[in-house]
Amino acid sequence: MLRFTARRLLHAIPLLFGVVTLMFFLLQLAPGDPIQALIGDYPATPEYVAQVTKTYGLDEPLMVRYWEYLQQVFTLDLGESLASRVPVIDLITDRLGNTLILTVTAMTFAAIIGIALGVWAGVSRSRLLDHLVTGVAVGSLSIPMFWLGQMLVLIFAIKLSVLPSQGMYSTRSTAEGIDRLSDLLTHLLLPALVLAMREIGVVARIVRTSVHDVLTLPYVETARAKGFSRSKIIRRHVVRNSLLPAVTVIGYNFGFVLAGSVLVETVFGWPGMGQLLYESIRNRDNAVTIGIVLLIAVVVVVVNLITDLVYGLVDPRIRVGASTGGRA
Amino acid sequence: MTEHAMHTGLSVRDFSVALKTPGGPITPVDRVSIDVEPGRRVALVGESGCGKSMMLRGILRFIPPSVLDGVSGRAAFDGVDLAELDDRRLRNYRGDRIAMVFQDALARLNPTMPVGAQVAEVLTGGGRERDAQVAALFRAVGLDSSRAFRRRFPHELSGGMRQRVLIAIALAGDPELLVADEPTTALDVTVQAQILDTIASVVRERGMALLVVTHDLGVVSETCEYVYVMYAGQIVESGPVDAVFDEPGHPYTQGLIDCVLDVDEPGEQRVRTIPGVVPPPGSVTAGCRFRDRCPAAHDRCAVDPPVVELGPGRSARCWLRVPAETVEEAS
Amino acid sequence: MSFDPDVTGALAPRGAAPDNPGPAAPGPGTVAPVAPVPVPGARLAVRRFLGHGPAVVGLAILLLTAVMAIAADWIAPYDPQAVSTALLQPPSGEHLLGTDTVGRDILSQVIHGGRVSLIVALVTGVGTLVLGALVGSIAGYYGGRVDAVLMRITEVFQVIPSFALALIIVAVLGTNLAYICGALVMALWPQMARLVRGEVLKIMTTDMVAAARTVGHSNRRIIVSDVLPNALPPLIVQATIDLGSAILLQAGLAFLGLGDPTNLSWGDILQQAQRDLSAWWMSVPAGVVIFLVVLAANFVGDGLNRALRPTSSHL
Repeated sequence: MLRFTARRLLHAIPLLFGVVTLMFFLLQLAPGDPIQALIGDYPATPEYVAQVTKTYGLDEPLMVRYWEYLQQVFTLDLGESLASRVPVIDLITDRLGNTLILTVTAMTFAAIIGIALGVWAGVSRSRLLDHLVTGVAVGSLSIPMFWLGQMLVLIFAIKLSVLPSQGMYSTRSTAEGIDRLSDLLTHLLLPALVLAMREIGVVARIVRTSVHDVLTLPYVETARAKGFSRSKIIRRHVVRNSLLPAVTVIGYNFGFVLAGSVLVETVFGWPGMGQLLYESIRNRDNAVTIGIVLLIAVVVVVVNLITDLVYGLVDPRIRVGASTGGRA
Repeated sequence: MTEHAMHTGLSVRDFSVALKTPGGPITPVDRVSIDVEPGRRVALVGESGCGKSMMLRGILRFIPPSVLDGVSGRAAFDGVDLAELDDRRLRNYRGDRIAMVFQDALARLNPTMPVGAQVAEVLTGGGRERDAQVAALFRAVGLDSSRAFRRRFPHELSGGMRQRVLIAIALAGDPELLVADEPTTALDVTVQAQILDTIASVVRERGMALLVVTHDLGVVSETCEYVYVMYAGQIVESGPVDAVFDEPGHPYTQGLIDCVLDVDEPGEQRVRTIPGVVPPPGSVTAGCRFRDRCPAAHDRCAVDPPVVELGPGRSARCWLRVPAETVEEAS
Repeated sequence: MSFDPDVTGALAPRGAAPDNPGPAAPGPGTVAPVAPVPVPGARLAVRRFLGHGPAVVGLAILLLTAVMAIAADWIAPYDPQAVSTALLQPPSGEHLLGTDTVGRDILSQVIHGGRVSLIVALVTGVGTLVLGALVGSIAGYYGGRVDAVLMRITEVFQVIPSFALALIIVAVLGTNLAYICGALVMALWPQMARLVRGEVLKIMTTDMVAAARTVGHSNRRIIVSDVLPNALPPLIVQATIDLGSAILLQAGLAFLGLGDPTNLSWGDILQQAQRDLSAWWMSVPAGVVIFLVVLAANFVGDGLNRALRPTSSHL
């Protein structure tokens, strides 16, 4: 396990390095003056331009700048927002918590609903149900997430007035404790569901296929030969093993959800990182925009790493040797 | 239940299995009759593809409905037709009264469950008592019975150990009949012998009946009293093991024995000397199914050969065993 | 499959039944290098495609959208950019789908918006296919270090979620249509490259490639004339699915204000709609058309999968 962990870690480092490099060269490709790219369309005083030039060492050769950029990024210095003059890292950490509340809730929804649907469709002998789940899955992959959010706001907030449409808490609410939590939950329900929608489809489909596959495996017949009922076989021998691919999908897709939260937060006025990103795009505040995308990439790398480790924990075949490999 | 009164063991009569295929239904098992009386050790031999495993699956109802076209005939255990049991009652037979040991033990064990737990889940008791039972079963099949060993996963065991775990699972329900489907295939030769010893001894100790399916005649002579030889979905010969091996009644049986004699020295590469392959089901319409490969094939073999009684409990399905004058009558 | 060898033996063509039951007997599915399944006759593929209901519906939707986009200038009742004094009007006889906040006709915007979606989808689809095929086939064909380096690069692009990657590129470089398409290609190519690489690796093990090598064909010739054509079916399927992804991603970008200001798209309409969601006539039609077109692309992709790769598992 230790060797497995070390190997995954060693794999993650060059990846992060690559992402930072990509971001650096993207900035170099920006049209016109690199200073312009950094400060966007903001009217800047000559002194400020000089300061930026110096801070970013824009008068130095490319490789020197690259080296300095790397150092900065790895010390978590992502520069300063040009709109608010606040360090980017502070802006992001302020909002990150709210985004995590939303995305983790969405992933939890996706896992629970997706697995339930997938197992249900997988073990059911009804073709109709099977087609239905597959249909929902394809539909959820085809629907624009933010539009689904708009539709739910239209129905539940505007027409039915049963759920709030904007923000994280009611504006004039002074509720404390439990009431505040329930206020948060009512605000959370719609955006989290919208954000989960695509993943529900993905998870359901993969679990369904996996259940189908596991059901044909020889050891399931062993369980049948033991005289177990179908439901006992499914509970004891099929579900757990079918969930292995779901672990990977849920983990690996966290990045999609994080990126998707940009759209969902915009629809629901959720005060998270996505909304910050939206504002930074509108303001051409590139330091913030790049900072957020870098952070998303870092989170993806970290979550993928955790996913691999969790997979190693739940699948005993991986746990022992690195050499046994296969995730079949 | 009244049927328990009849201890007749497994009795299969005119049993056929039909499967759905893209090219229409085929019948890999064609009107087969066998008996496994309580406490008897019976072998079913034949090459791969001759329908042995399919017959077992048909009898014990392991063929998925998506593939199964239907079965006919009767397969009864202690007088109860297995085909007529509902799911719940069928489950009472599986594991508890008829247990199975499969080949390919790695695939047959749940990869994510410790082997001890896979044996334990067959037992009904709980807690420490169950633990002790599992340990006893592990000892009975020649495995390390320590807790640490029982907590290991299938992929951490050798092929022989895994096969022993499967035997322990089969024994856990204390069945009356143990059905072993090629239990030693894919193991190396020394391990094969050990596994067979284990099966033979546990069956004898517990007074179980054994039905072992194999293509290996060595297995048969070491463990069984009675043998059925199957070819292309039919039983072509049956009889007490010694009698059949001393004086085979069917050229196919002779061929199988010759193969063993040719390569009796231990070695994994077994050169088969019967030329040709088992005809796939559906390709034979009439006549002896072995005639394309038979050294003694004759014109009359184009007609279905009769089953000829060769002595007490012995028969062969071959024209060679039919006295000359009756041949003329028949043709 | 949990079948014992008897069944597979039974289903195999005559003479192909496993004749040695010993440990060395090759099991079903382990039949080593076989020439790739030849692309079925075009007529057969077309018949299979047309036999799959959703695929036909999908194709019809895509064709209809294409006609609508091409003929937009004649079909649309108004100039989509023309402002009027009828601000935020619900649907009426005059404006079948109402008007937006500056009085532009929504129906005309929806009709014209199809152009952007189709251009984006086609350019991105082709771009992804070309770039993915290039990187994937080089990695798969040469293997070793070339493969390791190329796959590491692919992974860097893949680790940034496609939407985030497209967004950052457009945000930094600019929002004209060319940049948008380029950004989407950057976001979508890694998956294609991996797919191509996998297919190439499969084909590389076949006798055909070995033969071409023995004859002394150049690497480039082998890749272009032997390897890629055989890898094509799954690539076409993936490219079709990428069409849908591109439309979705572009809509998302436009919704965040990263649309080409000179070419209004469906996503731009939804951005407008966000300002006042109670004006349902803005959000509903644009979203429905995006959903339908993406769904159609996925249906067509599935249909092509059935038609071109009859042995692979379906959705």
